[in-house]
Amino acid sequence: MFEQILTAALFSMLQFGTPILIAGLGGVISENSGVVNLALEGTMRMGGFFSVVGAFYTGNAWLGLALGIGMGAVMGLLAAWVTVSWRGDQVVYGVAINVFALGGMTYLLERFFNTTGHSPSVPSFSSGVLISPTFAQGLLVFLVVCLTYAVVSWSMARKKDHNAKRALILTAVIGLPLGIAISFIPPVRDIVFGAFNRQTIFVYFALILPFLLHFLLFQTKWGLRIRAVGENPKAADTLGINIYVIRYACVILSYVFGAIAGASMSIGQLDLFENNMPAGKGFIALAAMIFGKWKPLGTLAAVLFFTLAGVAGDLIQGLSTTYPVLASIPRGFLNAFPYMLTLLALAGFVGRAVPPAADGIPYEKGEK
Amino acid sequence: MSTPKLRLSYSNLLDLLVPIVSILLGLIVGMILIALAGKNPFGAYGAMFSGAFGSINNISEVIIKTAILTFTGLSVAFAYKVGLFNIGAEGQFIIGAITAAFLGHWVHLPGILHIPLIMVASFITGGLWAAIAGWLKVTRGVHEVISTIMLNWIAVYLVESWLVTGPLSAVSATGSNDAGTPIIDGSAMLWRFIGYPPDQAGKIGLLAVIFLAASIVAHYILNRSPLAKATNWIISLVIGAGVAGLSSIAIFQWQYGIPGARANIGIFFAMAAVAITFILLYRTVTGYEIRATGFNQEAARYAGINIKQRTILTMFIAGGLSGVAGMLMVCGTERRFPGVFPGGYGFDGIAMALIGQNSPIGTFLASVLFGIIRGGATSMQLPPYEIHKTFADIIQGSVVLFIASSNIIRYLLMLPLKRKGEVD
Repeated sequence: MFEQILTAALFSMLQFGTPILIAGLGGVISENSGVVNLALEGTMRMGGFFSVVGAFYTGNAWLGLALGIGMGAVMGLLAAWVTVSWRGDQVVYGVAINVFALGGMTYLLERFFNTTGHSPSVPSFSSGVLISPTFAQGLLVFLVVCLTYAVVSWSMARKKDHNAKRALILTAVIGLPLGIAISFIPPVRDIVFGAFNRQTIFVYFALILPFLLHFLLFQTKWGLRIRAVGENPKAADTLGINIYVIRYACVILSYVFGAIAGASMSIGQLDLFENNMPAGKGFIALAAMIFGKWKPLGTLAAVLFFTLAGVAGDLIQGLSTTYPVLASIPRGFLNAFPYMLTLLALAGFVGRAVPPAADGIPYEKGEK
Repeated sequence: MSTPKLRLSYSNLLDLLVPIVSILLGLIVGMILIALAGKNPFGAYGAMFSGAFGSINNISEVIIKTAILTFTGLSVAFAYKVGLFNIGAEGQFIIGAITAAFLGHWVHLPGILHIPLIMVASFITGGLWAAIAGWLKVTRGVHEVISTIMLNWIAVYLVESWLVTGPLSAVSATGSNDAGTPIIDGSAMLWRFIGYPPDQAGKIGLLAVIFLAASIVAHYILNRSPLAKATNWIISLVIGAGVAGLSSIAIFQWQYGIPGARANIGIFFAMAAVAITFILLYRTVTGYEIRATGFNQEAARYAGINIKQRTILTMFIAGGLSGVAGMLMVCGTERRFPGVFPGGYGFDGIAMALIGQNSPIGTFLASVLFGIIRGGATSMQLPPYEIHKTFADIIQGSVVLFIASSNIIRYLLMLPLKRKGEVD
């Protein structure tokens, strides 16, 4: 009984969290280079729509996704041109894209599919990936190792004593045996198997992405450059880093992630585009990014917290058959619960959110 | 080579030209999209504008939308002055609306007290809702974008899926089958120019007398005080618009007298709010301190301005303005908190503030324009054009897009002068 509820809860956590996490990481990459991306909501909407259009006309979900990503890249290029090259106001631009996507996709939905409700069914990833129990075990090991790495590097960073090699060794020593041990606990294994079975490829992408981005930002030359451009573009420029190249790349990548997040809803969870998509998920992604202090692993933690609070409401509903007391809690409270919890968490223990120092400030070469 | 004076005045002109050119470009984008859909863009725009002004009902809808957009727009613009981005106008709007719906039905007072009470209460509840974000910002360092987004969702769920369907619903209050909260008292309904409640002429006449007398007295006082000159034209603007509005309404009522048009005195409140926020921001010490804080926080702190208190106060006023917008919707248009809430005004307010360059007057003008476009867009849905009304969002989005690209527009507008060698 509890196992079933937990499996269902984890399943819906993964579904709910995937688009938010991918979009939030899109925000992370852009803002670390010093460009505010408020357009996640609109980008998700466009990406989701064009993935469906692509899948509809080519009959292939992958080509649909490719069209969605392509649109994201084009939009990112435009955004970079306006906000980086022409130093346009990044906040205003983001608001514009969100409003534009709202009306624009309704217009296109009418043009392409003659409706303002939802598109017809298209080839999609929504049937999910069938996995075996052994795969679930492997996945569990992988996740535990990744999380151990996150915790290890976080605690090292807290002590201002980060050492990549030591972090990896510690992870291998602690995480690997721990993961293997946990993966042989039958209920845990069953829950993970049940929750991951038939999930879409986007879920796996979303789970790997924060660690990839963390690695990119904090362990590579390019990551150092991105952060330098985001913190002190003048100094970075003096050192010969091409600020425009870095910012263009990051903004385009950010919009591509936004588009993938949109696709994960339209041709991932469903096989069509609904006109109310993404229904505020882009703004929640924005909140998750700020909650996670503009860091990839922080954003992952924020999304985890957020989805946990989200399924807590579902859990309470699931349990209300056994405990009638719980049934008296109004639905509105349960719905508002994750947002209240987030607000409390922000007020209580998360503390000051400090964005990259040059976030939102356009850079002009030769400016004093 | 140029004289500095010419450059200065041309750059001032550019500040004004950029939003105007952006609006024109936005309208052109809309035309192109209509043409791409294989329809006549001029005909469709004709349908849109004749839709906006074609009948008394349509003008009425334009007036309503303008009033509400002005309030939410002012809300965003006001918060922007202290350097905060108020994405939470939508939530504050909902809180103000439910306050009005509650006080309108459950408190019984004569009209002359009921409406002011509701307005003050909606201002306070909307303001407090926003002040949470301001308080979190200054005491806990919580980014206002995230806190106002959270507060939006909390407002939506607590109000729409708990209060309106639960304790405050018409079903549990009066046993009727209507969705939403019960109908508010007649005394809480904003006076409509036409239709219910009856005995309009007397009320409008009274209102006109009060309005004119107040304006003239204000003008007289302002003329004698040191803050005269700059505010004079705003006062005259308000007076002019008020007189024009009232006389046109008198004429319409005499000529058509169609019941059911929903326009109400909310538009006067909106115009008054424009004047008040302008005076508050630019003619008072508090406004100066708010702007100083937004301009350079460290300098303001050094000058002895209480940053924390000013930030919270600004958020409170901003939220209050959105709260009153919600009150206008409930007391003026819907007469209840409806089951299906016509949302989006809070988010549209962001665009209004941006198009109006965060100035109260500009925000009002942007709201008039988009009141017309949104009011008229419903007419484009009819054959032969059959363009969905979210078309207004496309225009709105592209205008904001061009505002964001203002440097490009500025550059293009400077080109002719550059060629002449008048500016460098």
